[in-house]
Amino acid sequence: MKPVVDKSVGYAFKTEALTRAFSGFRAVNEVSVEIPRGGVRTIIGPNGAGKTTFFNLLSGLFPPTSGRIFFGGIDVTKLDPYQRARLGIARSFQITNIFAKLSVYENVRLAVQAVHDGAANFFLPARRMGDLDTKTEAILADIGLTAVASGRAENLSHGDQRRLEIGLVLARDPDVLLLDEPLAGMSPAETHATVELIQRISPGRTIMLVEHDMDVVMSISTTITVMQTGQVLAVGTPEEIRGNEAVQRAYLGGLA
Amino acid sequence: MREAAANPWARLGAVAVAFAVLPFLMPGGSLELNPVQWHRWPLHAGFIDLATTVLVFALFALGFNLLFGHTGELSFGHAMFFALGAYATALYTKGFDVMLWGLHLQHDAGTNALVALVLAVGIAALWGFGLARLIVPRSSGIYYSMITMAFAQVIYFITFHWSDLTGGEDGIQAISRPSLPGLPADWLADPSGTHFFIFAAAVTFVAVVAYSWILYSPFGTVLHAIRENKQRSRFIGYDVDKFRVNAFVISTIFPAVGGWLWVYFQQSINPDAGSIDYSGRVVMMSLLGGIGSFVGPMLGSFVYWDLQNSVSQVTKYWPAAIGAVFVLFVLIAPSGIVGAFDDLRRYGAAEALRRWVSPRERLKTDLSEELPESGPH
Repeated sequence: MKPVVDKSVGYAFKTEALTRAFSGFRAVNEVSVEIPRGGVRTIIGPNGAGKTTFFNLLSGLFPPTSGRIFFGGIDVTKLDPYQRARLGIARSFQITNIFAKLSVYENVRLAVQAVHDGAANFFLPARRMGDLDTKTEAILADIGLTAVASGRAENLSHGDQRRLEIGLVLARDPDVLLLDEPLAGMSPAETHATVELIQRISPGRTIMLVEHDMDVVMSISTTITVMQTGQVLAVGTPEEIRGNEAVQRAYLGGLA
Repeated sequence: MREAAANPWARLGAVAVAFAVLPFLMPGGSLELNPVQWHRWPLHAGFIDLATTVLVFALFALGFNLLFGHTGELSFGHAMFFALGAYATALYTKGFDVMLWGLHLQHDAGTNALVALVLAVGIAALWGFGLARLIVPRSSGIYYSMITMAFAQVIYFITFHWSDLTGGEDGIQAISRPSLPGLPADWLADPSGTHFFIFAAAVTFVAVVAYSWILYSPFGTVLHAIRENKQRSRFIGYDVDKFRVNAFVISTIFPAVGGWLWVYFQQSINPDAGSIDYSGRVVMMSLLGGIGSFVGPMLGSFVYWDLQNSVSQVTKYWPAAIGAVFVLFVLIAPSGIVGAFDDLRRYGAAEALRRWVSPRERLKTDLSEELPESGPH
């Protein structure tokens, strides 16, 4: 039985005392937050603050040590990543995570097919799945990779690989996108194109970002959550965070 | 823009033609290295039987390769499914009467080949399903290989030690070939082996068609996704473990059908069928032919048996010769015979030769396969 996501719930994610310990070290420590629905919700914090661990818990890469996670009114704490993906939670990884040996086209087509083929039904012919190719081509156009679609994904430039990964998570038309450092290692031109892509796909969804590029963070975030040593230090609009003394001391170091 | 999928009908047609000419490509009773021996008309029983062997092991290798080549999981115990299919057929055909923990198990000899097939496939698939449900969520990589090997040993020792049922080390002999509907009762028993070859070729071809259907279905493409990146597959919404279990079960069916054919062909069976040696052979065949390719495992079976048959006529150390060829392929063309032909087609003879000899060259050509510039974003 597929649980139904309640879109009238005001939050995308809600966590209750969420904790993840790695052999005693609490990477995420009793975090209770509500991530409001819609907008770009960015998480910042120094290295080791628990940002990626928090993402991993939300997307289901590993289970929490204790605490609970709610998504649109559903307790998803114990759900597998594929089940969360079907509910509309999609994520990209800090280290590019694509099907490197397959073609760019096949990468996207697999993601599009995943929306239809949950049942591992090996007798279902492709034509019964609707028009996979049209949707695949639409996504390729959206992420600007139509021209290189027939090449192998591993031969793409770094920036194009990052964008391909965003394409993979877009296929399901997810409610929430968790993007872990989508701009890491990108050239200024690639950064610009990717920020533009994120802004283009954000209406109607919640985008959660972990990002270090402060200029981008300050310009595209709706709210910013600051994490430090596994806990939430502050939540606020970019202006509020910029003016927050505790945050300045802990992280920004007078940069802003 | 779409991946140019080779026409499946052309591919199946090629397989059918290959099956038809297979008996003429086997070295016969003497060592004649000329592979095509048209002068051996009419067919010589020696190589007709060898051709049948190639087909049986082609079936076996196909199933194994669905798991290894296409899903990326190395089972080192697939001979257990070959043995299960074979023993199910043998026991059904011969009947048995044994006691197990105070239970009296008894069955009278049966003659219906179809019932035997259903039993062979059913038992192998059921065992495979239980095993996969146990193994798949708990292991991958080397542990997966080791656990499958351990379970294969369980089957092996049962066939070896439960003599009342399986005949122990000697196995089961004098299993009669079935009669086929619409044909004379002793049609399959034709002493030249030609009839049995035709039967085996027909069965194998049907299996190949089913295999092709599965492999080129959306299910098959997901297996490739899982092979390339399990984590990404999960995060785009595939229930990866379910696919892995299903792939495992399907991969047991082909060896089981092979075992079924093998028993009728050999008219006897012994524990060797489920041994590590058999499990290893099928790994070797797949690697020789080209893992992950459609015809690779079948080609591997052909090359293996052809080599074995010709080399064993000159030296009793033939396994060393096969080992040498195997090592050569792993070092020079890791993607097997099919991969070597791909290299020839893509790079031309000179460049392909350089690739085979030098791993550094291989890396260089791989890296230079550049993409067209991507447009403005």
